[in-house]
Amino acid sequence: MKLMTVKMKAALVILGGILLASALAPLIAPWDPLASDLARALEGPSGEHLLGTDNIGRDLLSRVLYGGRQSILLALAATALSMALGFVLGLFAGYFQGGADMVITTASNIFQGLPGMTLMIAVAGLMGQGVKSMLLAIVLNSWAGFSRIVRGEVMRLKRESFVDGLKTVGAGNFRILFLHIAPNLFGTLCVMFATRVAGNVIAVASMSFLGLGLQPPAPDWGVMINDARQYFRHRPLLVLAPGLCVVLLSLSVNLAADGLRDWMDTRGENADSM
Amino acid sequence: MWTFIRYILKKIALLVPVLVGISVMAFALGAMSPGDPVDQVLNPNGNESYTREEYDQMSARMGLDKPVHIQYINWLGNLSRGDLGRSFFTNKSIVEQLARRIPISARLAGLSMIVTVVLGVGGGVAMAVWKDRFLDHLLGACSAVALSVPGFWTAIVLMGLFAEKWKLLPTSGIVSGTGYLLPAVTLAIPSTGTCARLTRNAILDEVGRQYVTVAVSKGLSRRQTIVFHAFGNGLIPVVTYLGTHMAGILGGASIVETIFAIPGIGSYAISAVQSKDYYVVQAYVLFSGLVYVAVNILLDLLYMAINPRIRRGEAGQ
Repeated sequence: MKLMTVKMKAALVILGGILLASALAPLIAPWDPLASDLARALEGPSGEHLLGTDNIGRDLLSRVLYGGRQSILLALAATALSMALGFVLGLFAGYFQGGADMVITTASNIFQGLPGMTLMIAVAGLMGQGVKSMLLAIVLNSWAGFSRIVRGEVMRLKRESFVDGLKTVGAGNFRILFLHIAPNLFGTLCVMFATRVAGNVIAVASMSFLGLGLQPPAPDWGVMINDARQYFRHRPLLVLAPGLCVVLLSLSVNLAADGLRDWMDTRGENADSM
Repeated sequence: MWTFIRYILKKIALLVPVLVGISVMAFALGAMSPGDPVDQVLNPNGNESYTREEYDQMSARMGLDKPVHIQYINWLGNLSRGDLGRSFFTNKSIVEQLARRIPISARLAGLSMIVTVVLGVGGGVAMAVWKDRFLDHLLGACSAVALSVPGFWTAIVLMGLFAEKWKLLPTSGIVSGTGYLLPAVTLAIPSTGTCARLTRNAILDEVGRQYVTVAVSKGLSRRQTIVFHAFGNGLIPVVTYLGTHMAGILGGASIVETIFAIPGIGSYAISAVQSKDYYVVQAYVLFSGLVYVAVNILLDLLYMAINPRIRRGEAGQ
């Protein structure tokens, strides 16, 4: 099996390109993403404005370049927080079982029992608009998935003989759990993290689109698509350019997650056959 | 037969705490939100003044002067009488609104489900039959793209093309039945992608099993084996996904419903969230949770229908 498939390479190239462009936006953007020039609103692509301008004359290309900076970081932060929370709760639920497990499992059932968008909109909307409530909304929506998988894995690992061995030599529960069981979950968590980031990129964009996340005039893909809605017929690029960025970002992360999963599966098979 | 009933009762018992939890969360989301509902009712425009007595009177009338846990119990009590309160702003009964909007969202969810099943399951079977051939790769790429597309963007693009540019379909509303078409397709795109992948993998998992080898050695072709044997057995994960997805759209199609101006549950929730009309949000969260629980019970019944081992009560043997 090849180490990297064509799909994986393509995904990493696209992902790298988007991340690089976002990181370098202040250096490569031809215009200030916030500077408007009403006299030149809704212009088509030209030498000066390569992708044209939006409804208040801001340069579309510059806004697209800046548009991922906040939402990528937000999606990463929200996913990392959810993973941390889900990981710790899942470890405890799976290892200690009993009462703690019942409470944690019931809670995760409750949070998974509400459609993701329902929960996020209700939380973000009622807690007030803004980045903090959006983060909270996404974390509340995604921790349960992590905790459920971690719990299952811990329950499986707990029965392995190395745990009995550790107990015999007198290792304490926390030592076994954090130093010996937790490291085995690394691969599973990487795949889950990547899959979830792809979903959360879309979640962040959707909430900013609804006005519940990042706020105008921020140069953000979700906000831009909302601003440009009514100009779609006249200037389709205003909607297509930021939208394609969201699609490419989410797609490349999804493909990378697939690649990672396949790679780990084959590695797992090899280990079993040895 | 008894194991059968016991199994279902056990499953339902497990869902009771989930249901209670969802109701607490629905209530808490409203109770914890910033903003003062009494002020919102007395002063909807933000420029009316009221006295302290008026405020206290209204607060008592709305039951908001009592401690939170009493409010929750009162809320449940009203709920059991089929009363979810009234919207702060429109003063319309929430239950009546739900009754009017649920069939609309259900129609949308049903239509999008049909699209998902036809394209998703069909695509997944095709991918499994022609595994590692061109069609498999092509559909695989399509499904990866499909599940990476944000619904709100698809909605705007489809609406711009089919409704505004080519004027083939209505832009919004459901006056004519065709109004459901674009939103249903929008909702079906990501789920079709997921469903196709699940179907493909489920079938290929089954194909590796012994009974398939037996069927092939008895002279069935690979394609026949997949369609007549592996397909049925591999259905469980696909059905599970479709069930939860259906529950998801029934309550969670808020963005798409809003963009296409479909007067369903989702658009009701968005407008309530935007105006902080929290009785409506509570009702919405509760409704979504109820749908989830109901779908889970139905799925369990379906598993029993599909899998004879559960039907016989495996635990008893």
